[in-house]
Amino acid sequence: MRFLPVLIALLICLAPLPLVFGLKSATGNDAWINTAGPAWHDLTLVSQRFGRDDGFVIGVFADDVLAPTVLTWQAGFEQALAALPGVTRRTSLLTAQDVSVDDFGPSPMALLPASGVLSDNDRARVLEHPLYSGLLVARTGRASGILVDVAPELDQDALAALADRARALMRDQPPPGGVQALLGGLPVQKQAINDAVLADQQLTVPLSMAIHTLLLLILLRRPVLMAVPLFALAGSLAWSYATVALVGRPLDAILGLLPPLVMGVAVAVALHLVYGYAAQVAAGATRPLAATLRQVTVPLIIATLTTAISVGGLWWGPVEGVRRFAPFAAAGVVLGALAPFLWLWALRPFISTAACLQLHHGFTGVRIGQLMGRIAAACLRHRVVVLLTYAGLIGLSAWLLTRVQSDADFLAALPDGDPVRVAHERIDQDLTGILTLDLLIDLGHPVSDADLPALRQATELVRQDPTVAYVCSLANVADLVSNRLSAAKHPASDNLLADLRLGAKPAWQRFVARGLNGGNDHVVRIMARQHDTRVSVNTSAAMRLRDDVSKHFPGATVIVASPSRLLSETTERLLPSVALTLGLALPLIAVLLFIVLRSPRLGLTALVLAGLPLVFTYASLPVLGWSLDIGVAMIACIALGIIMDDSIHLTCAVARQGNDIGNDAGGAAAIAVGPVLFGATLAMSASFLACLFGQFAYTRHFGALLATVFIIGLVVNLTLAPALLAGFRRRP
Amino acid sequence: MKKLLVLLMLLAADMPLPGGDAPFRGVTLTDHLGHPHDLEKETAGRLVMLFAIESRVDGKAWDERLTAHLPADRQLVRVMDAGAIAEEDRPRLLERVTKALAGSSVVFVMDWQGVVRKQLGGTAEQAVIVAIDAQGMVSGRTSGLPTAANLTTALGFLGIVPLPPLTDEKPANPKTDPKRTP
Repeated sequence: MRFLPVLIALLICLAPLPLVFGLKSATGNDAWINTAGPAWHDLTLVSQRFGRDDGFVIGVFADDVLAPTVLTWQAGFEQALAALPGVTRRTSLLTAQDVSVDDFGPSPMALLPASGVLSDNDRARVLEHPLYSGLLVARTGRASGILVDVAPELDQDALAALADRARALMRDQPPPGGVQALLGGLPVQKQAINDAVLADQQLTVPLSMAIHTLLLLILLRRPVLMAVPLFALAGSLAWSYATVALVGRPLDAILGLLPPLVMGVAVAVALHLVYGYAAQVAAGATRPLAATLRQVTVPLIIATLTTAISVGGLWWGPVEGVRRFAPFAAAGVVLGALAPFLWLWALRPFISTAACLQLHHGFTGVRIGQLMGRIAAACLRHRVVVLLTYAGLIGLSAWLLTRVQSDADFLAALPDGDPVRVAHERIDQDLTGILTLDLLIDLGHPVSDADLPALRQATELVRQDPTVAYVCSLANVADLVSNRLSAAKHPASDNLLADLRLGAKPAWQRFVARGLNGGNDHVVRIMARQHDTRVSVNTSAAMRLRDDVSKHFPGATVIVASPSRLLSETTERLLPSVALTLGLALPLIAVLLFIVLRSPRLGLTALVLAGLPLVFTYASLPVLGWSLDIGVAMIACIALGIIMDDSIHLTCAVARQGNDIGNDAGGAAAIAVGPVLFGATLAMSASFLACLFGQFAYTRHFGALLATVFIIGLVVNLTLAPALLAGFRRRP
Repeated sequence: MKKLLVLLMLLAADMPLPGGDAPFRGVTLTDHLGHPHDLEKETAGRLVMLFAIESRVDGKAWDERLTAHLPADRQLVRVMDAGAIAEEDRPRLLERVTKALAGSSVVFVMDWQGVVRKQLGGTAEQAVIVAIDAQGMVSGRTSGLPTAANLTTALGFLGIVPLPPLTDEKPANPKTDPKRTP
């Protein structure tokens, strides 16, 4: 009969498994991109005028990419590539057009001779071509590129499917010996990031569970006691994933933050229950479960509510992916808090008095509580020193926080051998930049020959920038035509751009479009490619170039569009977004604490104790030389709730103390809840250090900082709380 | 699946032209010099080449190689599709055409409204060759590059068999290609 509760609990925990196994992984991570900002708006302006430019890049590497064998293979491969659904255009040496001159003026002609055999002159013309060298072919002749444009309606799933087809094609039609073809481009990079994050989760979640198990064995020492947090953790994780599956959402990189959040809450709540139960048994309570619930339910409910509020507040954030995360996170917190109650109830008949006494009186029980109480008492005695130290640390942190930089270098964050990283590094080094950069100049009038000198200077300006691998504009096309007219001994055109518009329409349409507010041919485009490095570097270069180019076109409107700028803007908005949502949540939490604790001082103290560890952790970023990336920004939401949990338990413990403990309310509370706080911190910090085994750099940063924030949280709770609560007296 | 594709191809081969079988009925256009041309009359029993500025290089090659084989009284009718040319560029196009054709008897019939394109179909990137019979009906149509096979097909629409047979072995050169075949 005593197995019945276990059976019920098992059934409840196993019930969501069919849903969990049906959970799908997302192929990209577009949801966290900020589509409401100016960067997205400017990218849209470019794609509306010149088409989508974020397709695939296939790098071809050989001793001589112009050799007939390579070109023959490429022709067959490109024919099959063009037939893939979703491919709208391919641009390569085989499709590129050069300019010749006839009676009508400039005339497009194939870049490569129809015979496929290149004379020395042809080779020199192609390798030094002002429009294609550094984009479609390297000057060395050892690399060439195939740019694949995709249909605008393709989403990330469709792009991933198309990438798979392209890879299959590369396997089915392999290049000849000595030739290497590598697939790159933004769509595959997004997919690679997502794959890396999911692969890390597949490693780090079980590893975290293993570390949890080991540490819980050390802390609790009895399998039956360990079973409460472990089963609670597994059950709440299963239900959290099932919630995602029920809604029909695929698991993306941001939803991948659910496991640490749920783990943290489940383990903390379970330890509070187990330690509380052991204490009640040790105290000889006749109904220890009921007594435990009376003691810990209120703080647990407050802690759960505050955590759910803090993560639920993300719903009002500006980034869609983060907004989507909020309800699942809040649900995960509630599930993580409920599961330990279920398992303590189910396993209670198996928990012996001896096990409880061993835990309560053992080195991880009262003894560690006493040690922590002594530390707290020491901090109380030296509270002036402690408060001054914290004041200094807060000042230092405030200064360091001004040095925190939002940035991302997704390529460097990918594992060393990742095929996309290899492809991008090779393409970037040997051929061209992966990331597009477009400067649109709205002249306010149709472009004419008179605009060419300024456009030429602006193009050269862009070319000089170290982040730029390739640049081309209408000025380059016009110069090419002028040279060809001169070489053919034709008289110089009296209206070169009119001739270009008439005779070389594809080139015209690549560089000229309608104005931002209408007007035919008002916009000219400087088309560039940037190296794939840190987004902040690329973005600041792009913004600087926009300002510099503007100086060449007084009165014109200049916009710059690049995926780097979009990523940078998104990353920069994450921290304010998190701060805003926490700012919304904190007043609610404060009100809740005030109502429950019935003491403004206790409520305020809990907020300070929960907030300071985050401040200190973020302030450590410049010291570590790390940037604020997406994962690091999200730490606040996960950690705040869990540290708040500790702070609430501590302040509730203070509130429970009678007035007979003199001045040391904090120290007494530390003795009471110290073992739980220590155990939970140890288990969670160590388990999140499992992230250090992740292949994706941001996973490692996330794990390391999350572990740090928990440790700092314990230290702050232990040392600052007694100082802040010195002389606390509950009003009669 | 293959059978279906073959069936579709056969059906496509027999499909009528976009404008029906008598594409020039009632169509009168001016040439680059401004002279009107009644295409229904002028195209009877001839080959008509529709090209755009984008396909002018291929058009020129077609022109040179076809003209070498066409009798003087059944010369090629050249229609330039200028429907996509912006209003402000039309004078410059006319100027260019006039300059290019100066000193020759060749005229380009200018299709400013895209009327002929609607009748004959095709794209600006490819020259389209159609044969019109004595009743003004389309008797054959080809397009693409002026290869020996395509040229032979086009000439065949008028019952002309080039001798010696055309080959792709050397580039088209009107000076060295055989003059005319009876």
